[in-house]
Amino acid sequence: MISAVSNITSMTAGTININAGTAISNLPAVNSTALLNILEKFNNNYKVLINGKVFQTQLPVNAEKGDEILAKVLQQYPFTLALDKFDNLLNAESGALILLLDKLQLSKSVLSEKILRYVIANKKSLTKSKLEKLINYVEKAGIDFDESQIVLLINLIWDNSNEGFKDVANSYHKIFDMSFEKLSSEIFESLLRLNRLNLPQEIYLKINEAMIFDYENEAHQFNLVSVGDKSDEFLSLARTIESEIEKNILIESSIQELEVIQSLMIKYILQKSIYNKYNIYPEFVVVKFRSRLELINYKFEKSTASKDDTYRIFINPDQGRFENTAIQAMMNSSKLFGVVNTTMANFSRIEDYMCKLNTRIFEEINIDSYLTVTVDETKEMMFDSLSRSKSLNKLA
Amino acid sequence: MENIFTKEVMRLALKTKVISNADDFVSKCVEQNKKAGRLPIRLNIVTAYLMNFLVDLKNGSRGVSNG
Repeated sequence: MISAVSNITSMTAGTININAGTAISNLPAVNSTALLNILEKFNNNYKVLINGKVFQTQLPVNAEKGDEILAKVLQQYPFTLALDKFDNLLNAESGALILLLDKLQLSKSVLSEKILRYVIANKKSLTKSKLEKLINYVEKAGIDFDESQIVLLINLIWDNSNEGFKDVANSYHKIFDMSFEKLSSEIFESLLRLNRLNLPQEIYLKINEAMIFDYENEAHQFNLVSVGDKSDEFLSLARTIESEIEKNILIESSIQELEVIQSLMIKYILQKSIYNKYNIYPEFVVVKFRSRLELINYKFEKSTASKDDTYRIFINPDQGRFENTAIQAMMNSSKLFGVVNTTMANFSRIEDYMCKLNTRIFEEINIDSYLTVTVDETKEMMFDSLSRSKSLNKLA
Repeated sequence: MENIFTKEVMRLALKTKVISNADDFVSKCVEQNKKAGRLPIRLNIVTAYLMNFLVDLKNGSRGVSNG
C-alpha cells in the first residue's frame, strides 16, 4: 500500500533529503538505520519503500529494482537520509557491524564483516546485492586478496551494473590472479635470473632504465623512471624482447625467461591501469647497492577532494631488510608531511638525517617538508586523524 | 579511438595470454591511464630521496651512522 509519494527536495553526494509531505508520522527515528527497498526506477527517479511508506526520490547511487540499501536517518523533518555515514561504526565493537549484516540478511562471517568494513571506509552505499556479490566473489575466487585488491573490487562492483560486472570480472580474474606485491616479486626474481644469462645488451640497458635505482652510481642514482610508473618502459622492453625472439638467435632457456618477464610486465601495465583508474598507484623499485639488488614495494593514493591534489605515500619495505623502518607521508604541491616509523635503536641517528633531508627537499623542489621520526607505538599517530583517502570515497 | 600504446599493450596482453579476449573495459583503462599522464614528478623526486634514505640507513652511511 502506498502511504506517501513525495518529491525530492535536494540531494548531495551521499545524502538524500526527502519531502515527506503528510507522511511525517512513523518515520524511522533520528540516528537509526533505515532500509530502503527500491520498488521501481524511472528516468532518474526511484520509488522506494521505507518503513511501510513509499517515497519518490532521486538517489546518489546506481540502484536497480529490487535493491535494498541501508541509510542512516539524519533528521525526520525534513526527512534526511545519509547513505555514506556509517564510518562511526568502524571503531565500534563488531556487534554494530553484525547488526547491519543482519538487517540486510547477509551471512555473518569474518569475511563479510571485513568486507563491510572496507565498504564503509570507502564511503560506498551499503547495497545488499553489491555486498552479496563482493562476498561471493572473494569467497569463490580462491585468491588471497590484499587490501588494495579488495578496494579495487569494491570500486569495480559499485561502478558497474550487475551485467557490466560480469564482463569486467572475467578479465579481472586473469589480470589479478596475483597481488601487485606478488607480481613485483615475480618480476624481481625473473630479473635476477635474466642477469645470469647472456642476452643482447639492449635488453639489459632497458631493464636498468626501467627498474634499477642505482645507489652507488651518482650519475644514475636519481633514475626517476625507476621510482615511477614503468608502463612506457615496460612496453618498450616487451617489444624489444618480441623482436629479439623473432630473430631466432637466442637459446631456448633465454627465450623462456624472456617470455616470462614479458608476460609479467604486460600484467603490470594492466594492473596499474585498472588501479590508477581509482587513484591507487602501487609501485615497486629495485635498489642496487653493494652489488646487490633489493626490491622495495610502495604505494601512492591520490585524493582529489580538494582543489590541490593530495598524495599519500606508503613505503613499507620487507621489515627485516630495512632496519624495521616504514614511511607514511602526505604531499600536495607545496607541503610534505611524513612519519618515519622505526625502532628505538634507530631513532636518534635518523632524527638529524631527517632535518637535513627536509632542508634538501625544500631547496631542491621548493616543498615545505616536515618529515619526522617516530617509534612503533605511535605508528598511526598522524594518520589516525586523517580520513581515508577521499579518492576512494566517490559514492557510486 | 585507441592510441598506439593501448593497441600494443592489448596485442601483447593477448599474445602473452595475460587476458583471453580484448576486453573493452581493460582497453579503456589502459587508454585512460596513458592519457591521464603520470603522477607529478615531485612525487618521484621525494620517493627517490626516501629510497636513498632507506639504503643509507641500511648501510649506516651518509649521515645515518651507527655512532
